[in-house]
Amino acid sequence: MRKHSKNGDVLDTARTILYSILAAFLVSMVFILALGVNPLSAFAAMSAGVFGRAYGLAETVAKATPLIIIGLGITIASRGGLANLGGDGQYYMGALSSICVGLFLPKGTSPMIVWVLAFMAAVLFGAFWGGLAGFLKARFHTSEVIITIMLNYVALYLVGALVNGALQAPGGIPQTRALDKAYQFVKLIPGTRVHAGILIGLVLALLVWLLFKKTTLGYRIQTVGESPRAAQYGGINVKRYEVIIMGLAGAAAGIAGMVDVYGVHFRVLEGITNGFGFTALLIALLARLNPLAVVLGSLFISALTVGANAMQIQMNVPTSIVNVVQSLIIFFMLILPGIRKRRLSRRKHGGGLAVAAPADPQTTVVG
Amino acid sequence: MSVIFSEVFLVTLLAAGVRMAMPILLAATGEVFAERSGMLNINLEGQMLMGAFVSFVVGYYTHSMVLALAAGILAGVLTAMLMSLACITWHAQHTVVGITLNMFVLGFTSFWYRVAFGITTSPPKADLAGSGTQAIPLLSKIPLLGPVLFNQSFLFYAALIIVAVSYFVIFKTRFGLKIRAVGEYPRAAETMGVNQIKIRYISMAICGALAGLGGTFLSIISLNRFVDNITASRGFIALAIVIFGKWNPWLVLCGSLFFGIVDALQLRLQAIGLNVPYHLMLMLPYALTIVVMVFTAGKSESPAALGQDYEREVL
Amino acid sequence: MIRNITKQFGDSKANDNVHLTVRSGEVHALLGENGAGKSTLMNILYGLYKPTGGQIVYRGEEVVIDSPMKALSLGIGMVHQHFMLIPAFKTWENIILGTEGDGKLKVDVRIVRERILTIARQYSLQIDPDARISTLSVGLQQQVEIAKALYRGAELLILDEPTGVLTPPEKAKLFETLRSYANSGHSVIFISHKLDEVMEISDRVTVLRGGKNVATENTADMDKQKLARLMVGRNVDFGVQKDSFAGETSQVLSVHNLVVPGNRLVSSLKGVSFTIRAGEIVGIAGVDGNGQAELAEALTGLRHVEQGEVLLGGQNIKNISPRRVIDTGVALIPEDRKSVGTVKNYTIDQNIILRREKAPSASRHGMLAYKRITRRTDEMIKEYDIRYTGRYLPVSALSGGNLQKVILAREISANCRLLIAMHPTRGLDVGAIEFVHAKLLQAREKGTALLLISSELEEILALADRVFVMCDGRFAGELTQRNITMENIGMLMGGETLAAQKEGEADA
Repeated sequence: MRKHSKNGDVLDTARTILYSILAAFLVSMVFILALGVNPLSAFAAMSAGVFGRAYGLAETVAKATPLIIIGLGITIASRGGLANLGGDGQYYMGALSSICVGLFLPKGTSPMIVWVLAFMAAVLFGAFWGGLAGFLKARFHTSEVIITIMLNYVALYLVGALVNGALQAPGGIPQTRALDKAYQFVKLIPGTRVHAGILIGLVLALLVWLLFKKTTLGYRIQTVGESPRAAQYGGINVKRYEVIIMGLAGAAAGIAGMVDVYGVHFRVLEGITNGFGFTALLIALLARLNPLAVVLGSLFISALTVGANAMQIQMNVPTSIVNVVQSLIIFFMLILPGIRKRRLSRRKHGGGLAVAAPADPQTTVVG
Repeated sequence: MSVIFSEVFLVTLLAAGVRMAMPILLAATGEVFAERSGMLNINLEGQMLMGAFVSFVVGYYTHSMVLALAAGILAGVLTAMLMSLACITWHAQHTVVGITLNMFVLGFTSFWYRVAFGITTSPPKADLAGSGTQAIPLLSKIPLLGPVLFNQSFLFYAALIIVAVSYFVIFKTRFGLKIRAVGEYPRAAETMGVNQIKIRYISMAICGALAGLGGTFLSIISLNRFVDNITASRGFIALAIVIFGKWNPWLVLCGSLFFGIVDALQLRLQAIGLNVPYHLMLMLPYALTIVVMVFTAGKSESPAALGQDYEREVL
Repeated sequence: MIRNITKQFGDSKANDNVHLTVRSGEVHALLGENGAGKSTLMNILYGLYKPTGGQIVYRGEEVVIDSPMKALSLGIGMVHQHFMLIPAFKTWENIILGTEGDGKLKVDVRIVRERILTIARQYSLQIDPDARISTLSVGLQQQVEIAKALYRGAELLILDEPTGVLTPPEKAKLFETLRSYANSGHSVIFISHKLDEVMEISDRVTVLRGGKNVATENTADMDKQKLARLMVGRNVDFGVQKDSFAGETSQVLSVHNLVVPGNRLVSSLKGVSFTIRAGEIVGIAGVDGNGQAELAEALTGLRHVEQGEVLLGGQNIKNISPRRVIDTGVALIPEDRKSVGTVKNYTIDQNIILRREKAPSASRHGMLAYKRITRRTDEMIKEYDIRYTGRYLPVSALSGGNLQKVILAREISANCRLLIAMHPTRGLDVGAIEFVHAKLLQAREKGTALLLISSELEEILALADRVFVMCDGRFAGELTQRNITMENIGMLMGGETLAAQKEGEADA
């Protein structure tokens, strides 16, 4: 029984995702056609950009790293019923706090100590930035959607003020000093940007998977997300959990910031995240909030980005087509179940009304 | 410091504040319709952005203010209809759909802007006739008030009328009663013969139109150009203002003006060279939104069915 | 007139060839148990459900009623069991909602108010057009519901279980209104499962059972026993077998002078004291919304207590966290089993560990112990005879009765000292009701102290060893053993005092 129903579910989900991806690509083909470019050769350029060279694959992994980690945090938030749109702000806070650790510890400190401290700082500040939105929601009933977006701007301009002021490196460019070579993450593949951060991402994915599969903490987070009233009745302090959930989500995004700083940029400047938080949100949705699928989703979206870069160079198709494709995939995923349900009930009843067949007669027939 | 208290400073500040309030005001007024009908239209930002982009393109190529306005409004409506289809007809979650469509519009506008104008160092301008200010004879001569209120874009005068009409429609007419009923308790409305689907679609269309108009103001009147993400989360600030304004168009007007003036203040202060890092100034409107939310969110009561899907059990 | 109406949900027929003929000027009762198909039939007549087969003939013409709008335009009005009123709206706004104006843009409140007051006077309804619904008592809200239908010119008024929420005086008032409405040539369909009411108000009665017609009779030719037999299909024994309570066990719960602030205008608790002994069922009767929910929430840590004392086995449990209340052995069967008592997207297993996820039976060191959870759930499914379509499907696929069994299994088996049951059988069919009652009595025999909160007087009469009647946040009176009668509870619910009670106090 268990196997049967679960397999059916998985199959259904897979089909929905597949159709959505196909539909999104079809729409983007129309876009590309309108440019006067043959969409097939554009896609060929795209896939060649990813699979045709080692650099493409490596870049895909490198770009996926922060998306995986932020996406995991958003998975936690969304499972807890909260929308975390503040991935970018939390990422900045993680980046900012971790670079400070790397820049201000006395020279010659062992890299291990720097990394651990930087990691902790990123977790702390990221969690604070996310938890703040959770706290304001719990205490003042503010919408976490609006607050996290506003906190993104606050973080962005805070970084702006600091890299133009207190933390500015000599030379007039608005950026911080670079990390000492010794503190930079080792490259997993020399000559590319693939660094040890991806390992952190994979470990975190496993941990988040365990969190929801195995732990009471995960059970409670999920219960809060499914039904706050049931959670309250279940003895869960929902307000406290709102802070915890957003804190965890923020911590993850903070780690992503730290990993990017220590693995890719080695310094902090404005624009090191370019909407990663939003992309990661779409990835979490694409992965149906499954932590392991977040890894795959991130690789997929990141491959799209890498491919689109190649496509832009060769075919002059703007890279923003990626934004169109990824948001359309999610959009189709969101509406397909509704369309299918509507079609089914139409066929059943022959009427034109929006209907849902009640799963259980007794729930609708109170009488 | 004395500069700040001079009349010239005050007049320029307030006039600029009124101008900067406009996009937010229009969008927020639209959102009042949407949320009163129960639609949590997080897509407001996207509707503004689409309006800003389409009106700019149409204005740029046709040089017609009327066509640009119409195109901006239509673009907002169409975006809102996408959200409505997904959420009302196909019962998807409001927040998630809204965010997704925001991303879509961001990509869409950026893509077609590149296609139309390429990558340039000097962004093209629309330069439409009528995008300047229209001084109202006599009234604009009143000291202080004149230049602030009666020497504005024609859209400002239109916006005031829109706010007044919106208030009247929502609170004084049978149609408004239906909108509010659907947002409070859709099933009760349905049992009294109200077609909640129709009401929600109409409310969303009104919202999309006003958001599109707000975006239009931003691109062809206020800034005279289009850049990627030109709205910069003004749609979300508008969402906050709707809460601050307790879903009442007049209070929304007050909130928008307040935000506009703060926004203008930070620009003015930068202009006169106050010794505060420029980035912290830019932060001001966003930080202020958080503070305002903290003080008002708990106190204002949202429509009871806001953001909730309603599936009628008609079989 | 309704002819051969059939309504199918999935594989089950909620209505199977049902006939119903209502004459003008009569009050026609539609009698049946929960799940007999009464509401379904009425929802079809009101255009909310679409019939699978059959016709509706109204005033000699066959009509298709496909929306409430159509029903309203034909002159059919309905007062729903759960009121269709918007709490944030004023009375007049609720009443004119959905009506078309006279062509003017602006609603002319003066004219509307005038019309409402005229109708109110005509049928002696007590209506203040400018009162906000959220400030009205349930009885007054019902009058607004009726006024809504009358404002639309309804000539056939359907009332779905209208008396469940009313005090006896309010009920008398309602019957008066219905009588005068019918006497003016209109018709009333009165849906109920309460025999007394049907006997009292109706001219004729149609009985439904299992979605089928059983009989249509003149009420005057019937009596309670006959109706009961028709309704249930067998001889009914009004009452449950149980031993009387000895009253010598130890005290489990002691509540003294409990004061709890309420939500806005909803009543709160204004000083409530009582005790429950092990193996005793204390019933709290009363019309909904008089502080029962607040009492249950206050006892379980879900609501802040302002004043007073709550002791469980001598240990203070006032204002401690809900989690600690659970840990001290207080179980709660909540009123809303669908969105509070269970998580609809969770499986039975996941719902069984709700409130108990930290217990050794569910987890160790924060890690869930799946084997143990599954084994325990299997046991419970067997013991409580929980019927499911898929073991690992979400519980939203369970019927109301089976959902309640999941909650019972979880709460009762937790070795609780105190079990608070709120409306444990509301909306369930007879079989499930009997099962729930048996389980509650079984818990009582094991020595659990039970607090039974219910607005079903029959349930209180059948189960409780002692009864408190709640009215406006206070206990209007206490009834023990021989005093527990329908009449006494009814009197106290209506805010009157008992002669017998006074005597008792004089003795003490």
